[in-house]
Amino acid sequence: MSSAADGGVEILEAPAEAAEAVHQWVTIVWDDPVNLMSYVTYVFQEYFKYPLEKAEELMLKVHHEGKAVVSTGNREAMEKDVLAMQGYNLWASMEQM
Amino acid sequence: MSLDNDDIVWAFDGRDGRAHALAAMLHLYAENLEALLPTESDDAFEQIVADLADDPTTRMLGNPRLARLFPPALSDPKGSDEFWRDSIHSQARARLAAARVVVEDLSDWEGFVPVTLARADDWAKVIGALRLFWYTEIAGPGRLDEPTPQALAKDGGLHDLIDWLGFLLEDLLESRQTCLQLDASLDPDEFGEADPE
Repeated sequence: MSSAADGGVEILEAPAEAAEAVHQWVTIVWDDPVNLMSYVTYVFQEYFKYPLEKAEELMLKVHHEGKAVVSTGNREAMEKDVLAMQGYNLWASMEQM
Repeated sequence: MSLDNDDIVWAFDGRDGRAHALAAMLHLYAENLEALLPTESDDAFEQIVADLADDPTTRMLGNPRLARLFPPALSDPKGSDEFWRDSIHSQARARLAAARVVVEDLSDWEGFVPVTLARADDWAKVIGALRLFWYTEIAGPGRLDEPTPQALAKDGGLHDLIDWLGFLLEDLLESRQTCLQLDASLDPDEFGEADPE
């Protein structure tokens, strides 16, 4: 968003969300042939406290599409989530959006 | 949810040598994980120094069973190396702590081993880790690696073991979920042969 003040000086206003989005990271869980579908659903419910429907939806996305974004946040929060997912034996990684 | 943490949500059937088999697997699992840690010290400062001086990444990558448990967290190798260096010690200690919970439960009971709500998560993590640990033996450490027919023919017993661990995990999750839905703890007297030592 921008506005032009009298005298021709343009003031640029960057939305706060845009600055935050630059620093957003995601935790990704990847499909593998070992972990059971019921176990992956359990992990999403147990760790993220997602309701069953959302946990199953994410699990199926992992299963059918090969991966799913399971959480979003700053880098520190995503490091914590990746460590937790790996602690549950899931193949998890993080990426900057 | 109104079950208490001490309520029993699953019973591991340790009869017919199954408890000993699981304990033996846990011993090997723990031995591998301990190789990732520097010498333990009672002195907190010494422990921090020892942790900082030790980089277990090469040891982890050199052991396929362990490598499967520590996938790269970032797509760029430098970032992954840093992540590993900063986290392998704490991850290995967390895995060992969960394994100790299972070992304690196995040593406290004969026959059926009651698992409480508070300890079910550690059991699930450990059984899941053991599946991966053994799966790597017949398939390799890659994310999508699958066993070849030759590997299955050679190590069919391992495949049966992985199936058994999968059955245990499914059984644990189903029983826990049922207890939570019914708001009811299992009764050790109904396990048949549960005998506290």
